[in-house]
Amino acid sequence: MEDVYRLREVSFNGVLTIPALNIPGGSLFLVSGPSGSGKTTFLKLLNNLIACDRGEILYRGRDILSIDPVELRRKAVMVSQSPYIFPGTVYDNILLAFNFNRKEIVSQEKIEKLLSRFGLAGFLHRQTDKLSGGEKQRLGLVRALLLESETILLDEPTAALDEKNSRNVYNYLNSWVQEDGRSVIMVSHDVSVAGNYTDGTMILDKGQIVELRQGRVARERTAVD
Amino acid sequence: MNELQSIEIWRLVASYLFLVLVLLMSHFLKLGRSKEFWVATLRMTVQLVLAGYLLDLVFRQQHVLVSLLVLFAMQGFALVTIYGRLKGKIGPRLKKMLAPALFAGTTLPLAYFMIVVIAADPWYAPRYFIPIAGMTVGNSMTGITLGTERLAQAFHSGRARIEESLMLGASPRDAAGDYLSEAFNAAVIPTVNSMLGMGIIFLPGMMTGQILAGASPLDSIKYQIVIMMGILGSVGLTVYLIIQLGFRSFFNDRAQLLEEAD
Repeated sequence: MEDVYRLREVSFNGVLTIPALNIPGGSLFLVSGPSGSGKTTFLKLLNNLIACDRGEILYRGRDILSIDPVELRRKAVMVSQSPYIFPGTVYDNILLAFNFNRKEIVSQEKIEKLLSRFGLAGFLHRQTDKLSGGEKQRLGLVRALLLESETILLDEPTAALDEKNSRNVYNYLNSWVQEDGRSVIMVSHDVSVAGNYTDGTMILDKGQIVELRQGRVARERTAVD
Repeated sequence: MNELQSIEIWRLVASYLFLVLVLLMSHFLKLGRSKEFWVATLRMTVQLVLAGYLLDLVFRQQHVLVSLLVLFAMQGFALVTIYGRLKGKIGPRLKKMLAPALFAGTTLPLAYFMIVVIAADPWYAPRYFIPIAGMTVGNSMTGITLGTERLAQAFHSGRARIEESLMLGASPRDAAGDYLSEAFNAAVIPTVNSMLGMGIIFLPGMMTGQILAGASPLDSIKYQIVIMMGILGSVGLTVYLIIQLGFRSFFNDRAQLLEEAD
């Protein structure tokens, strides 16, 4: 499968430098490293929320500068570490994401199924100001996953979750990448757990790559539980 | 109706007794603001005397360029005031949008007003043109200041929300969404509120002036109504323009939310 992202000689504000990186499509790619190592900056570059000062970033073979930035974000949806949850109900949040993405909202049944997969069964009409930190983080994930974009960029998707919920998220993402060519690029400080589920890992420190494990690991991850 | 009863100079001077009264009260209450009172009174007096002589001169000219020059001067002074009030609160990109918004937002409704509603002959007749321009520009100045301030605040405190929306594939306009309508409402509410109380809670200054000058109350309300409509239109248009031009100034052409200018 073609690479979902290719980076060449990319640098951003002296905060991050990536000489060369290929991220294969249909894979779960992990970015890890201590705080301040440039992980979030990396994701923002891929989502075109910020622009690199040097180098080029290709998304599925096309320079991201030649792709309409909003279109790119609709193809490669990102979720921040503490996703902003809009006022209103859980459903309002999901509806808004579909409106932003210019997509027809999926059936209520499908939404409820994914909500319950993430431990939010019966939350559809709940007011979001009543949600806990962990519930908000999971809603942020569900909201983005429902959009079924080609690629999803996740910044510490399990930061506010306990281990059981974290494993649940990783398992779901695992099944997600196995669907036609979908890719997940995920930032997590916790390489020991998340690393068990990924096809490639990049460790950053002070804006530099200190370790790059590329290539597909044998898919034994379904056994990890 | 009687002609306007002219105020003799000594009676004019007598009105300053009120200043003395306020200064005394301020002294007894130890407000320490007496300087502000007499400076404000002095400025008001000097500014109005100058304006009176200037208007007298302008009214005698009856020249299109003179009327337009006065309009541009008003817009210029309004801009300087707006820049002053928003100093340190907005970035340079947003600041650049103020002039076109104020200029278009006040000139277009004024032109419509003079040509269609008042149908003055000539359309630039300073007696109508200048006071109406003053009210339009003055109200729009307040509106644009409020709207711009609110917009800048929203983009400051709502960064996380706007950025999250962009991440989900929102266009900059969608991402700014509610903030734009909130800024618009905040800016036009004072105008709407003043319309609500008009004629019951207070008589507008312009109408009072006309009545004092000998116009019939029925004529003066007609003027007041059309002028309020003109003000509403011009405040609305000015604020709409600054919001439409202004929100774009927070994004670059790659639909990225710009870092805040210090």
